[in-house]
Amino acid sequence: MVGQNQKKTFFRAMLYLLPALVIIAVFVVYPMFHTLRMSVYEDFNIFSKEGSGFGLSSYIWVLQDPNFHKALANTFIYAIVTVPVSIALSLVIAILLNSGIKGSKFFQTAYFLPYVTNAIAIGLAFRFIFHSEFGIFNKFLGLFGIDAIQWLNDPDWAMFTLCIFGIWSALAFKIVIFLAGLQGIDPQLYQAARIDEAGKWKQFIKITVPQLGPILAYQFVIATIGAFKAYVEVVGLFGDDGPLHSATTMVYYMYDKFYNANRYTIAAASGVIMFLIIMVFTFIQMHMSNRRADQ
Amino acid sequence: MDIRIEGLTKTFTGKENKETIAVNNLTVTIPSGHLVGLLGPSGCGKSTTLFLLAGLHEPTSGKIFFGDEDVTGLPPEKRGIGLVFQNYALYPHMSVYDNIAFPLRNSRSFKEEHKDAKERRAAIDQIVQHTAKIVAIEELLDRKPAQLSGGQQQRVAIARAIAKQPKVLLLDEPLSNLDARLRIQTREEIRRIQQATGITTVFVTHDQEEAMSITDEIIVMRDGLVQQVDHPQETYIHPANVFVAQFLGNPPINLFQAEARGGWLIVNGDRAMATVLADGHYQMGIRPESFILTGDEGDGTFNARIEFKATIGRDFQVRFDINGHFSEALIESDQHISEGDTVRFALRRSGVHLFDQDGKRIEVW
Ligand SMILES: Nc1ncnc2c1ncn2[C@@H]1O[C@H](COP(=O)(O)OP(=O)(O)OP(=O)(O)O)[C@@H](O)[C@H]1O
Ligand SMILES: [Mg+2]
Repeated sequence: MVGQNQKKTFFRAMLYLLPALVIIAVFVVYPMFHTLRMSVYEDFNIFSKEGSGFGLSSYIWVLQDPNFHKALANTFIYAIVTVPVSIALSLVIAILLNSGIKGSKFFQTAYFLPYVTNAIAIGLAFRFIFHSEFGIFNKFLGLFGIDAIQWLNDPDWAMFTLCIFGIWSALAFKIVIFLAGLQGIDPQLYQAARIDEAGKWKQFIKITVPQLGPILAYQFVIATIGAFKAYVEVVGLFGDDGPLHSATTMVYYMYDKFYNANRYTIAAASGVIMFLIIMVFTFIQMHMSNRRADQ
Repeated sequence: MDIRIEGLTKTFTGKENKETIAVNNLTVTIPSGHLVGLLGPSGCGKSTTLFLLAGLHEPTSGKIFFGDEDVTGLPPEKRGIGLVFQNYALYPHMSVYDNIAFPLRNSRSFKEEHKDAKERRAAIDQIVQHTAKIVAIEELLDRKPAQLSGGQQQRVAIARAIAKQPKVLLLDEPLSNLDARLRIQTREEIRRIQQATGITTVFVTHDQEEAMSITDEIIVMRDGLVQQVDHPQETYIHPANVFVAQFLGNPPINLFQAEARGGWLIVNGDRAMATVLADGHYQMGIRPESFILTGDEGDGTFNARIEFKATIGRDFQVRFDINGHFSEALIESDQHISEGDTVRFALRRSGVHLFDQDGKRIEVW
């Protein structure tokens, strides 16, 4: 590249990037600005694309809506529960699979299946598993003399059920990523650690975790963003947002306001709020993982 | 503590069940406090032997004793060994300091000796600093392994292995990446530490000079089989077979076919050396430094036509044909010879070795 005509290089680069740039502009940048614009009106006509009542009234409405509070709280609970649990669980499973136990090849494939299967279909399967009368969950609990739980119909249990489902469906992708990470660790490090009298737990803490450092950080960021965007899991499991809206989430709220209630400006405002929340969290996490990496 | 190895065998089963016998029925005793060199060409099973001693490989058969204790089934963490890996295996995410301190922090016995946590930390710090000084890396303690040169990494690996004062020290080519001066310095240092502490040490190398200079004994291996176990000088003076004779010595021994006839070994058609061997064909080896230029013409000498001559320091290197084998001799430089000359050589008996056609040493000839 040295000595080449800079202008020519620039144009050629642009030519290569153009398709991607066009797609990003049409499907990401334009909708973002459009959403931002919609959110600052009280009312918006999506056909004429004209708004009326310029101001922050939609934001005020959203922030005062008890349903939004519920959605916000649920989303946070969902994120706080499913992210650490699914990461811990998937790491344990990945380590087991990587330790070359019998049939690990089979399980590696088996664990990946949910990832390539439609979430709605899995949700339907889980509806059956959680079924209060016929579901195996309650059948299993029945063995211990525990009364049937209304997993899907009781508003008090809905979030719990959603979290279990959320954790389960988040496992596949994480396991695959962790497996790749584990396979990248030099096995000689473990041999050296054994010579240095480090037990299994010490090896995990002092070698596996630091070696997986960047991957762990990545998983946390991706999983948190994913949890904040939880929607398919809700619809897949309940068909709507659970009994008495008990399992509603931010994205569900947004969807509901847009398609069911046709409150476009409210939907847009809640979308912007969600965007800001995710952004703040991502920045915090990146900052923390960068600092850890610097140490 | 001595190390006894009895009938140790390790086979690896590769693809399509192809078996590699990396170590083949190895039986040897390493006396307590000795430094033993494990010498052999690449792929002969040196690292595998070390890994078996460390417990990182499980032997296919055979037993290993440390002192009176049978450690064959003991995991590496219970064997109390220090190991320097051929490619270091430093912990990339830890500083040099933490790398060296790691085994001390894990050690049960160290915890027993230093019960108080604060006192233990101070003790560890003192050992780390001291060990770092020995291998000359005290300036590098804050660095990560990736920020070190190959030689520096190697010294960190040595420091990590000796810091915990192991009962047995295993070194897998620990000096291969050092420059000539540092290599000699470090090997003297290893020797010094080893003698001071009396740690039984196995030192893998394929550098024979290294092995000769610091070891008490040498084990020469080839294709998983032990060829000779002996004092370093003995392996050179009395090579047990053709392989050892050829492997040791630089420049290498001149090896060729020679006939014994009527009490003489025939070299280039002349009666070069008296022998008691029966008439027949033998493998004859002559060390390059065992040729003597002579004015004599009679029995006990032979003709050679110099085809090449070069000056190496004080000596001349000359090359010529012996019984069809292009040979090399080192002779003192005050002799006047030039390429194309035909000269007469006598031989120093101590530098001449005879082997049967199977390559086994013939002791009396
Ligand atoms: N894990 C393994 N699986 C299969 N074969 C192996 C394994 N480790 C070593 N071998 C084979 O065993 C033989 C001895 O290997 P080893 O590493 O002990 O050689 P070495 O003497 O240390 O050689 P070098 O001087 O090159 O390090 C080689 O043929 C090697 O290919
Ligand atoms: Mg090796």
